[in-house]
Amino acid sequence: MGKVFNVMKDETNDRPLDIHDYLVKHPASTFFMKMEGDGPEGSGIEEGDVLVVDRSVTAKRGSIVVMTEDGELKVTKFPSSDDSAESSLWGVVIGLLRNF
Amino acid sequence: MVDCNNFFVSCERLFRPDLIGRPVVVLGSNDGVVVSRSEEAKKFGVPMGVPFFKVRDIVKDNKITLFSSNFELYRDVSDRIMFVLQEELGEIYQYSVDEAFFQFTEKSSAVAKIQLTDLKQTIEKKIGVPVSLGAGKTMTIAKYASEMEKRKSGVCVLSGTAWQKLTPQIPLSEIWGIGGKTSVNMRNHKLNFVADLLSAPESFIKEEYGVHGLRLRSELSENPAHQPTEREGLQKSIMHTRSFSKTTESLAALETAVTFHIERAAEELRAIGGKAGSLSVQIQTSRHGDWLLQSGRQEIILPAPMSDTRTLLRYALSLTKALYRSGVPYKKAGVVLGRIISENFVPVSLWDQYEKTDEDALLMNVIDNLNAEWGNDAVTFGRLKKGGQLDHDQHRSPRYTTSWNEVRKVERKI
Repeated sequence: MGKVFNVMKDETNDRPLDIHDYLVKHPASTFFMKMEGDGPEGSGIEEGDVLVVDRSVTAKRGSIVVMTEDGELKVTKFPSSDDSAESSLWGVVIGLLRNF
Repeated sequence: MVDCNNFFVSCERLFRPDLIGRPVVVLGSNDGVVVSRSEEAKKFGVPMGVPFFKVRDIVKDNKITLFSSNFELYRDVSDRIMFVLQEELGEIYQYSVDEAFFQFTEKSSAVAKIQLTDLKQTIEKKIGVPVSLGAGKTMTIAKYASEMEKRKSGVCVLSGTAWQKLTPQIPLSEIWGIGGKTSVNMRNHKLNFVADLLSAPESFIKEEYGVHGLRLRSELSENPAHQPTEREGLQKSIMHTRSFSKTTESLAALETAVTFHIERAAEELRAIGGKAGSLSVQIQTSRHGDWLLQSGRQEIILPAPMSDTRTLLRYALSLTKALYRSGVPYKKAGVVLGRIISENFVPVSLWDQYEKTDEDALLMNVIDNLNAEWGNDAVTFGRLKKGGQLDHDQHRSPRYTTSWNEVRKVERKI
């Protein structure tokens, strides 16, 4: 049949693909969290998904973020509708892990 | 230098923002001893290094949140901080789990303060652990500086006149490298403050405190005497382990083996010019059959990098006692001295090689007293569960960053 080639193969090296490289840009400031219940509306995040949260990234309008609200960590779209003094940004969700 | 504030507590608070501003205490040594406190817990009078039972009432009455040491979490957070520091600064010299020294050149103290404040904000954003930064012409001064502003702006530069005008007010007991015994000795010689040491005759310093005293004086007069060197040449850990020719159920036999291993490992450590920041002890059963799950391994992070056999031995033996279960046939015992750094940038105690820092002395005192008063089983301060797991870490938080089953759960905002 001829050669089977992987179009995604990195031309610069021959290592097998590593999910970590793909997902995690800043390992020191990246943390994982697990979604309990549904994700924010329109986010595409489902229950049980593992969120890849990066603290070093700047949140933009429309980003999904983890915030501290009254001492609890919550996932929401940025900017959050009620910017109370009790809430602050914890990190930005930059990716998802999901097993089927 | 960079120094994390109440490090273990801060690690817990990273995933528990509800605990910011609340009193928190972290226990170590199998829930026996207080090893970290939040500022609020300090205000309630919880001292460092005391056995838990002594503060049980204070904790209960004030609803202080309690944690067992979650070393995996703390190690991971520490590694992240060191990684970011390295990224920002190039070369750093990690001194302990939550402290690192680095060099930078800046003529103006005011500009230095701005740069360090920037660095502080970067670390706090990227990792979420509050830190203090201190700078001075020498490591000893930098370490003092990091303490000075800890509860205020968190950044302090002490150089030239700024440092010199403080020397008559800084008690020698607060200086890195001066332990309890030495500061008492110094007080007896009318040396109470840094300025006193600086103006004492050199011959007296040399005679009474030796070359280490001279080094300290040099450091305090803004002439560096400690040489941080890269760890590149040093191995990261030293392991000593051996199987027994026949199995043993005797604690004494295990202690003898561990003693032997510590003595050899510590010798090797000193021979390579290193100090260890962590110690772990492992006792293993035979690989077959029912006893497989009864093996035990425990690692502790030492209060400060050290290499003296006596102190290492005391920690190792108390770990051995805590891991030991009677009636179990053990086949192997071993130790690992980890997080090795060069001794060149750790000040040797002025009194003698075996003087410990006050914290360390407190900790060892407590562990020894516990073993003496209550017998071997007391050090665990918990109950030994069937099935081999030591039931001591009752209050340990989830290993948020090292175990998939234990990652932080979050809900969406309503």
